Amino acid sequence: MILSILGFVMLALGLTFFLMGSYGLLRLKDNFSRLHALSKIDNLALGFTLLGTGLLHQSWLLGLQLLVIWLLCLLASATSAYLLASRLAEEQSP
Amino acid sequence: MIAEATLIVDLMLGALACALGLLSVGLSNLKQAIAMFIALGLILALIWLRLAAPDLALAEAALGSGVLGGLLIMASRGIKKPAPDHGSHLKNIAATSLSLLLAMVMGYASLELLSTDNRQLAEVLTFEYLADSGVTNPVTAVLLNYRAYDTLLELTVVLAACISVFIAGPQFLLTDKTAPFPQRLIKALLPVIALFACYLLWIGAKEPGGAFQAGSLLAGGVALFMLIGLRYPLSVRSLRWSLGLGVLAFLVVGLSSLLSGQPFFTLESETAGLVILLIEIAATISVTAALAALFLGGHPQRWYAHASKKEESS
Repeated sequence: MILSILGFVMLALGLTFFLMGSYGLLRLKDNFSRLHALSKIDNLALGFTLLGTGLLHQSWLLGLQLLVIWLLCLLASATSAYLLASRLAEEQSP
Repeated sequence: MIAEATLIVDLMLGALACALGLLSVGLSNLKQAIAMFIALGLILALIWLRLAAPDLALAEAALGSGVLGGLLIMASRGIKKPAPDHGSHLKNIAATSLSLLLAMVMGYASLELLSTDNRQLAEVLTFEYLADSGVTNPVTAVLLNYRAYDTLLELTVVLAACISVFIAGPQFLLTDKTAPFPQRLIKALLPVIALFACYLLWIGAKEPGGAFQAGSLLAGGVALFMLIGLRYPLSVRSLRWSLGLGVLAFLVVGLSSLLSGQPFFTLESETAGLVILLIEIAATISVTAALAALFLGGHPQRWYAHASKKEESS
């Protein structure tokens, strides 16, 4: 029961961070800042969402799978943010 | 309360899909339109999940968002700003009414499809004979046993597209400078991709998965491999063999049943599972080679010319 409530709280936190990140993506002025917002979404919002999902289902195997998914998403988003940022830096100062 | 919540989510997904579709054809900025299209692929994958079709969701996510998105971005590089084409009024009216007519026909057809009689027939055909088909996943049974002819034709179409790209397509060049960080990361990630593709291929008999999903995942891996400047490890001849392997395997199985006096592509109950697995392996190799070749574009000879030039200069 406690775990389910905690799960819902985590999901709500994840949703909040998604909304904040998307708002930042739309309203920030610089491309680098937008990349920053995107990485925050992948770190925090996805982490909280997966944590909430794991708590709601209360299964160790699922929790482990979600952890691996989170780590792979972190890896992918870090790489793509790096590639995008280096391309942006090239374009700005040739 | 759960039912209303899922209904709201479904309605939002549907509205989002329509909006993204309209945006991806309506936007004049090409890069924005492609981004909308990739997002549409993702939403479609979610919709397939909500319709309880995980195989389709996997294929849509891998092919629609991943491979097709990459292909579109590569193709849009060569296009300068397109001339604004408003078209005549008559053309616009004709196109709009034709699209509306098509949408109405498809809506009616899908409602008919969901009617009880058709559903029962499909369920009987699929599930009653599932035990004899050699696999336990009904989607794989349909794709590779009941309607194997369709899959054979799909593989042939992909092969024909590859040949056309080899003859006529432009070369999408691989990058010259490779930063060490992505190289090391992708080199570490590739075994994970390969393992997961093999898992998808193997589990296709029981759970959602199968040849096309595994093939598109592996093709993404090969594309990553070549994008960071590593050299394609096999020769052009092996590429040709890989491209033809899927169609070849299908034809061999199909014709061998002709030789034993039965119709084209008849599988025996006892050996069906093994035969399907072998065909799926061949199809995966084919799909991987085809999608990677489509992604890189041009003739494979020119890939190696570029790679050897890079080796000389580096």
